[in-house]
Amino acid sequence: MIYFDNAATCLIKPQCVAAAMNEALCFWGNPGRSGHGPSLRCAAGIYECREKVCAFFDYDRPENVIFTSGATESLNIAVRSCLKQGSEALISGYEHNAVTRPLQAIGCSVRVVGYPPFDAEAAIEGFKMHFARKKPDCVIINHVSNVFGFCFPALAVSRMCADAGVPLVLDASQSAGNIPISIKSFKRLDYLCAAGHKSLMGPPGTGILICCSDVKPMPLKQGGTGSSSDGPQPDFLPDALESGTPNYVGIAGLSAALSYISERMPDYCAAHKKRLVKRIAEGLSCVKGAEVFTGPDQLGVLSFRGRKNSEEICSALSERGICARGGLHCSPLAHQTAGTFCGGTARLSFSPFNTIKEADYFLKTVEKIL
Amino acid sequence: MSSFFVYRSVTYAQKAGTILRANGIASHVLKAPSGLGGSCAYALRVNKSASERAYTVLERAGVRPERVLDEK
Repeated sequence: MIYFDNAATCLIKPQCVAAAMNEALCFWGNPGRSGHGPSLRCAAGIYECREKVCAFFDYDRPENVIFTSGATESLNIAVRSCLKQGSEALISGYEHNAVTRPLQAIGCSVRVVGYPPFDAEAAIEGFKMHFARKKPDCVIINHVSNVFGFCFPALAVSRMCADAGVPLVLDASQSAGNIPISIKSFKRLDYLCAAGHKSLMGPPGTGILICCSDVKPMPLKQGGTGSSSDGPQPDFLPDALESGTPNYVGIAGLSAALSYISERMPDYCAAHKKRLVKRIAEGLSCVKGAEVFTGPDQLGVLSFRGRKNSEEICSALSERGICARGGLHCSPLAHQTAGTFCGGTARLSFSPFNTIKEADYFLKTVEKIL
Repeated sequence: MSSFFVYRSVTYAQKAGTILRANGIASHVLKAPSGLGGSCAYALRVNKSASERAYTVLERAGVRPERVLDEK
C-alpha cells in the first residue's frame, strides 16, 4: 500500500510515538489533581511537551500552550475568542470548514479575500485592499492550503494586522511540521492553531493552540482543572482552556513525535516532500488529460484533476493500492476560490516516509486511470 | 529545612522548577500540603539555604510564587 493522504492524517509514525504512548498509558495518572507519583510524572511529561511546542514554534511561554483534541477545537476556541455575533472576519479564500462553520455558527459577517492559488502577490494586494476599505474585527488565514499546498504570505498580513490593531488567527494545520514557524517573527499573532496528527506525526486526538497575545480566550467548556476547585473556572492559562482529564496518552505521543521531527527539520521533512511534489507534478504534467495545480512555495500537498471525477480517480487509485483523497477536502471555499468546486480535486499529500519509488509507481498507475 | 514556594496550578510549579534547574537550584514539585495554599495548589520544595536566591531567580523570570512558607 502507498499512503498519500497525510494531509488528512499521518498514517506511518515514528516508532517512538507508540512507545511513548504505551508508557503513558501504563504509568501516568491524572495530572494536576494529586501528589502521587503517576500524577506528578504525567504533569512533568505534559509540561515537557509544552516546552517542546514552544521550542518548535520559537515561543517562550509554555503555560500559553493549550492541548486540544485537534486543530478544529483549537480554531473553534480562537474564533470564539476573537469574534462575537455581528463581528466581521476577514478571511483568505482558502479556509477550511473548521473556520467557516464556527464563523457561521457565531453569526459573524465574513469578507473573503479571493486570489488564484500560488499567487502570493495577489493575496497580499487583496488583503491590503480589504484593510483599506474597512478595518475588520479579526483576520484568519490558512498558512498552507490543505487543497493546493501553497504557502500563504502570513508575515505580510501579520504586519497589516499589527498596524491596524486587528487580531490574527493562523491556521497552521498543514504548515506545522512542514516549514519552520517562528511566532516571534510575526509582528502580530494572537492564536496559532495546529493539528498534532498531520505533519507533526503525532497521534490522532491531539491538537495545539498557542495563545500568543492578551486577547482573552473563550473556553468551549468548563469543568475540573485540578486548580482553584473552590472557585469559578480559572481565568489563567492553560487551566482556563483545559477542563477535564487531558488526553495525556496522546500528548505523550505528540511529545515523542516533536522530538523526532525537531531533530530532522527542515531537510528531512520539507525538502523531501518538496522533491516528491516536484517529481509527481512534472510527471503528471506529461499525462494526457491531467490538470495539475502546482507552483512556487508548495508544501507537501498536490491536487490534480482528470477527465473523470476526482472521487472516481481516487477510488481507482485505491483499488490499485494507492491511498489519496478526492472531493472538496472539507474546504469548499478553497475550491470555490480556485474554480475547482465542481468535482473537486484528487489530492496527494506526503510524509517523510514516502519514497521516490512510490511517486514513480503512482505516475505509472495514474496514467492508466486518467 | 525546606521552603515551600506555592503555585496555583501544577503547570506553574513545573515552570518554576524548570527555571530553578536551569539556574542550578534543586527543587521538587509536590501537592501543597493542607494549609500551605488555596485549594488544589502545588508547591516547590527548595532547600532553605537556597530559598532566597531561588525567589530572586523566579521573580526575575516573572514566575513569582503565590506565597512562600518555611518548614517549621
